[in-house]
Amino acid sequence: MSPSDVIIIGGGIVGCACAHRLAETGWRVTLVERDTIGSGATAAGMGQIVALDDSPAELVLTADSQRRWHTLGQANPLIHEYTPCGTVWVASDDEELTLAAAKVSSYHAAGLHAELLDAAALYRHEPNLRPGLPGGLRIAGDAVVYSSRSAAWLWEQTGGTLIHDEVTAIQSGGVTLANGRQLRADVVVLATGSRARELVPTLPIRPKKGHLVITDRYPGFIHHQVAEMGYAKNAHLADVDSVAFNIQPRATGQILIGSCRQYDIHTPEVDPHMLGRMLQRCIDFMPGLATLSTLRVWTGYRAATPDGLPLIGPHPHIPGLWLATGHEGLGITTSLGTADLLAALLNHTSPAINPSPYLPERFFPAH
Amino acid sequence: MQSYDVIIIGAGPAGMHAAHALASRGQHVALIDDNPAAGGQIWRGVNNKSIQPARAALESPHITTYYQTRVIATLASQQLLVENPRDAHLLHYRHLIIASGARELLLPVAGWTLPGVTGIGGLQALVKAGMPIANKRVVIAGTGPLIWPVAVFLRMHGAHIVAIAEQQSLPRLVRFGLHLARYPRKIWQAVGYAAQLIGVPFMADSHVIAITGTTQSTGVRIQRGDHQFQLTCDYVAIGHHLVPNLDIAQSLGCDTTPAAVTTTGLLATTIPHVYAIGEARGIGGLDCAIAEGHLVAAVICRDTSAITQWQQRVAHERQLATAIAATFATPATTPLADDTIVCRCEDVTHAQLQHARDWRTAKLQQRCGMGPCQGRICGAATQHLYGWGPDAVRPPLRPARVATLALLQTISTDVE
Ligand SMILES: Cc1cc2nc3c(=O)[nH]c(=O)nc-3n(C[C@H](O)[C@H](O)[C@H](O)COP(=O)(O)OP(=O)(O)OC[C@H]3O[C@@H](n4cnc5c(N)ncnc54)[C@H](O)[C@@H]3O)c2cc1C
Ligand SMILES: Cc1cc2nc3c(=O)[nH]c(=O)nc-3n(C[C@H](O)[C@H](O)[C@H](O)COP(=O)(O)OP(=O)(O)OC[C@H]3O[C@@H](n4cnc5c(N)ncnc54)[C@H](O)[C@@H]3O)c2cc1C
Repeated sequence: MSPSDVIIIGGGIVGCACAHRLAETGWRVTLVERDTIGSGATAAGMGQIVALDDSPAELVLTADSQRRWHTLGQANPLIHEYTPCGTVWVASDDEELTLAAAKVSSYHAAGLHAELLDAAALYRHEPNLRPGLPGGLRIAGDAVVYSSRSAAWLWEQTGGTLIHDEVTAIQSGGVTLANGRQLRADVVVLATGSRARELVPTLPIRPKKGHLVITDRYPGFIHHQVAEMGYAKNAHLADVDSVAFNIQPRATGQILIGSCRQYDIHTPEVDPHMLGRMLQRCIDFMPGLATLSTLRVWTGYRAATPDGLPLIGPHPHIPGLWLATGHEGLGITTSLGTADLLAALLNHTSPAINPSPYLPERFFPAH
Repeated sequence: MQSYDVIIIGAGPAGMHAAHALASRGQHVALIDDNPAAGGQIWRGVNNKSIQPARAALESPHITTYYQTRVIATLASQQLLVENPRDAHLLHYRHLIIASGARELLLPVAGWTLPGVTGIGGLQALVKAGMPIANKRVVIAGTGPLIWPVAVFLRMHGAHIVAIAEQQSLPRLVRFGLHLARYPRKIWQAVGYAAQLIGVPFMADSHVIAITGTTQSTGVRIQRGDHQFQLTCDYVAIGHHLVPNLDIAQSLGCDTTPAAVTTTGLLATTIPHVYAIGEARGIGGLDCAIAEGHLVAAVICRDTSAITQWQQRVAHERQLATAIAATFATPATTPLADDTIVCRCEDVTHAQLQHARDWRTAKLQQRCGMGPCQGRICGAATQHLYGWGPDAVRPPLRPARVATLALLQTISTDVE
């Protein structure tokens, strides 16, 4: 198949990464974005580049993507605000510390650096944590980026055509825009994040709302992304609102504070009660946060799938429609791995990792 | 949680008079202000005869004052989250009065970030706080009625006013002067200002195109008609009239225009139990603010005879507000140099912004408006310069401690 025209719907980090990879392999890319490049969840998310091991397929995709970000970020650290600060996962009790020890081996098996921290090592790395914690886990290869600018940068490299409009319908061989115009292409890639169901209502995607808070500049207050190990546990409790301690040092010296998850809430307003719970949780882990000055609070939506893995590949029932969505709370990380998978599938070349766990067909019974 | 009949946000002339008039009718009132004392931006620390009685009345046991206190969030169920330098509180109200006043519109011009350049009200505040001004050469520029009392104030404190450079044309200013003729007190005030400013060069139709200096302002370049000239000075006070503080009203969901909170003739906003008075209703000055403070108290207490009396007074004072808006509300901007900083918190220059699509793109890609002021300064500037719409208002309305926001976990989740 000779590369030709592709329309990408959605200029978040996933759409821009796909545009970048496809343009690199010879496709003529048209991107349609309703707001501005790098908006949506991409403008809201923490931008932690994180290897996570909740499932083997998640670890493979995040580990692959973490390496790709390292290459991209090291080449242009200022553009991406790439900070290779690593993550410290904090164990709250001995049970979680045992879990941390088990995780060390699963990270090692994936070829990643992982280090078990005893209490002394934990406080050496992050002295502002509350006293009395047993230890934790340090993943040195994790990093932090500023994804809105990365998205813009990735897009600028493509030389493609950007259309500022909203896609209102996908039809065979193209899309219809809000202004009534039709665009034609052999391949359409849906990368509209948590809004994916607006165009394809049968997709198994639910929005999971989160709140974030940014502080004024306090350089040196923390040195890693610092999160509670219970985060993974809390974060994926189905259908239950949850909060977790998860804070991040920005390149500016600011602290970005998260996190919480609420299902099926469609209003962007700040929920004061949830915000309060989330911040109290963070103060409980790091009491010094209490007096820091906050500047802004915002919300965003993660595109959650039933199995926590993204949808990458052809839609099994709609010819010409390809999906790159459903990245939940990891899409900034996994955007680069996603783009490589999608391009390999479209170009019939061999992908760096096995694409099967992410293929959309897993949710669609055969005809 | 503390609960009050009425909470008033802003202890300027409008808020002080409302507090006084409500307390004298037996209402329990909380008066909240960011400043360490009552009086508002202009009249704080000044012994003005018209506000003295209200200031004294704040001692009333019916009034609780919350100074150095900022409203951080407006919540459902008629609650406010407020913060002071020590702690934070949730307060409950039956009626809420927005008397949040106005701030100076500061528009970028080449050199405006040099030390020695301030707003007009800003320089007055610095001098009130003890900055020595005697024998310093000051140019006052920009536009607005604030220029005159501040020029008098600075001269009384020994400043040498090099010149007053007003953007508006002379005919426009004369028309405004004719309006004043219907307000005897204002006329005497104006005559008084003129007498105290004898010998100060006044230039109409004059636009500052650059402030010069390398480490400190040393002068201004002014364009008047077709020619330009340079003035030498130590300080430049430059402001472009006032803009009302609308964020609290917007946070409550009240309808607003760029110039005012939308209200009925009886000062009610579009949200039940919420009123707006003073500059928040549009820039109207001291007498207007005082009259609206009285009127809102009469409205809340259903004092019909007082309502009629104060309503007439307010209508009269508001005509002047219309004239003020017609004269001063559309300041001109001069072309900027590429390296002129527009967003001071994040050091974002005109060159970085002029080709951006919109405010959101400028924010996400250049960090414009992401600093501590959250666009309160640069938002107004980019609206004037590039026509970008303002940002959505949301909590925290001012920078707030993490612990203050954490207090929100205590509010009930099943709010009405
Ligand atoms: C609070 C929070 C914290 C997070 N933290 C992290 C983290 O630390 N690390 C991490 O890796 N991930 C994180 N994430 C997840 C990450 O932000 C998302 O997975 C990722 O940004 C998804 O990117 P996307 O491009 O798929 O979607 P989006 O960024 O939402 O982009 C979709 C784009 O499509 C556009 N669009 C939608 N519909 C249409 C239409 N009909 N026509 C045209 N355009 C359209 C939108 O305007 C938008 O720009 C977090 C998410 C949240 C909410
Ligand atoms: C890593 C990172 C660092 C950041 N650092 C900073 C920082 O230092 N300072 C800072 O100020 N911001 C910072 N931000 C936040 C950023 O400026 C925006 O606030 C963020 O993109 C969230 O968008 P927003 O909803 O606040 O933007 P907005 O421009 O307010 O809104 C975006 C869109 O969503 C809609 N919307 C969002 N919320 C609401 C609501 N409550 N009600 C109605 N409509 C709504 C708006 O209509 C608009 O279309 C950072 C973001 C990230 C990802």
